Amino acid sequence: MAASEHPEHEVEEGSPPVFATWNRIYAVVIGFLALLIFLFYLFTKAYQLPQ
Amino acid sequence: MRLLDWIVLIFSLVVIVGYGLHKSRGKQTIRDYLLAGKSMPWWAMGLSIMATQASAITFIGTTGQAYVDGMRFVQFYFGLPLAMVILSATVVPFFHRAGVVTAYEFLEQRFDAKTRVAASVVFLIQRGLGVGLALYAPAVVMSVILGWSERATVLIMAGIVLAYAVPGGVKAVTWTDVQQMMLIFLGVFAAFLTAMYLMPAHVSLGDALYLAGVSGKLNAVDLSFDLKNRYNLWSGLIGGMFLALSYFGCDQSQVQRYLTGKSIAHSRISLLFNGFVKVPLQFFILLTGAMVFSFFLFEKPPMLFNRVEAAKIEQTSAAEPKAEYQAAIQKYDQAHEQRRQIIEQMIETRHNPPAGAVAINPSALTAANRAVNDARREGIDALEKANPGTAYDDTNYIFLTFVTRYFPVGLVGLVIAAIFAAAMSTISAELNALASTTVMDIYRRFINREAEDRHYVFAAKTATVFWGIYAGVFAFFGGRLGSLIEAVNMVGSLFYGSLLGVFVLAFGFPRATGTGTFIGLIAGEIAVLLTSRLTDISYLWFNVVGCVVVVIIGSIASEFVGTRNKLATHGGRV
Repeated sequence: MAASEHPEHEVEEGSPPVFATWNRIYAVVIGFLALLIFLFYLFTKAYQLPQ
Repeated sequence: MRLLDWIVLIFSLVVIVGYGLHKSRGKQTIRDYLLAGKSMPWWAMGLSIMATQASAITFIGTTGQAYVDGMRFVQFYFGLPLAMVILSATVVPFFHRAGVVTAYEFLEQRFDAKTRVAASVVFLIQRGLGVGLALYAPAVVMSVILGWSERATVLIMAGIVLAYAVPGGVKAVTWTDVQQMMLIFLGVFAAFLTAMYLMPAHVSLGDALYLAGVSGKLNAVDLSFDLKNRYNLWSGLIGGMFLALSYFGCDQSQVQRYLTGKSIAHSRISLLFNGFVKVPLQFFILLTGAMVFSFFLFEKPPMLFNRVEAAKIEQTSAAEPKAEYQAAIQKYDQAHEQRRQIIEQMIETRHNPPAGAVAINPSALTAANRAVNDARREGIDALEKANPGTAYDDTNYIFLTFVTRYFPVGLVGLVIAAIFAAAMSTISAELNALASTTVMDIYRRFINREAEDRHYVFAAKTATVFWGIYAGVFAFFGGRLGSLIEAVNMVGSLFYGSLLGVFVLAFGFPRATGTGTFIGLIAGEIAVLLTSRLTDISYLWFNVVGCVVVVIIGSIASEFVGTRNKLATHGGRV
């Protein structure tokens, strides 16, 4: 294994700014995407040429 | 462009560059120059990530895409938020803990030097061609629409980028990206509002949406599954996710953005911010394009938006295509006028439904749109007949034609400044990343390992200048490259999936070996090349094919060849 070309350094982890855990934040991002797709689907249906 | 437009453009550029240089002043080590000393806040990184992805052609081409093809292109971005979540959970902490400057450096820690070099060289070739194109493409469009010299535009853009990217490094690039992304937001918002303002007084937003909708331009979601259909929900979610994983996880031009973070949390939030904002932003840009379409239902657009090509056919000595072109123009004018009358009746019926009378069927508009498109197609056929072997596509010229012809003075300058900003933010980040890889993965690793820090800073600045000149030379001769431009666009999708497969093996398969992964990489590339040559599958799926083949072949080969390293036996944790 090659050694890192940089000296060892401290890595600051940091904590999630909201929702307490990262998994909850990920769930919010995915939920927001699902909501957007649903809204875009309704948008498409609302304005498409009447069948 | 009038005087006020020039003032707005020049003022915007001076403020952006000045701010970037101001924020990056001070003494620099190589980690300051390439990683901003790990000091950037999440919001600056988040905007920089978005600005790097949003090139000038993304800005002007996406609106044109909605005009021509509707809003279905938004599905291309559906996989991006998923990729942001996956990368935040996996790649970001790995890279931070490994203390690497480039993504490829991690591959040597995990596998071996040959895997690092292979990935670095793929990046340098792919991104080297890409940065030339990022400079060339907007210069061509601006030269046609604004009458500027193509080469002067290339020189000015490259000169401005080098003026802040060379002395300031990644810090200057990031802070200018922040300003540039704000300008892009402003430009998009102003364009949408102006498009609405320019609509005839009796046409409301609802009317404009209705007309765009019945013309098939608001097709944002398509649920059908078809591997040959470039943009549908599934290609966007799956193919788009793999593409975004490759681009944001393996491409140094993006990895470098979030490696500048103060902490793992800041880097994660910057990516998740992108996951939140990118899809609505692209939707809004496409909606602006759809509104431009609605505007041009009332105001007759030019039959061909590339006025240089249109002038050429009008002046050609070839009698037959010229006559066909003129006939197409007449047909186009008549078709547009008939369509306009149908639209006016539809709007009138929508506002005041006649009691007992038969309303106009919206499919009448479909037929009228078809007549306009057929006439335009005949004009394009005539143009292509006069220039055999060339394919005419004016998608990138539509939005700028609209802006320069109809926008009020001052706003034209603002939109042009936003386009400049989009181009420069992409080019500067790419030059920065190319310099990082050149110095850290090639020069410092194989040529000069023991020099002082300031020597590597000098080398990185020299590499930035080198890649800037390289991009400029590519852009200077871009017009002569012809079909190579298309090939450059293809290169990304040919390599990204396989590169992603290498990183998936590195992060997720502790038993993977360097040699096994290398064999997988070669197998993945062969699979992608065969898929592109022998099938009609849409290019977004190439990323899936490349990644899956590398992972399968690489993990099988790893059982027979190569040795596992210490990093792998510890579950990949550095």
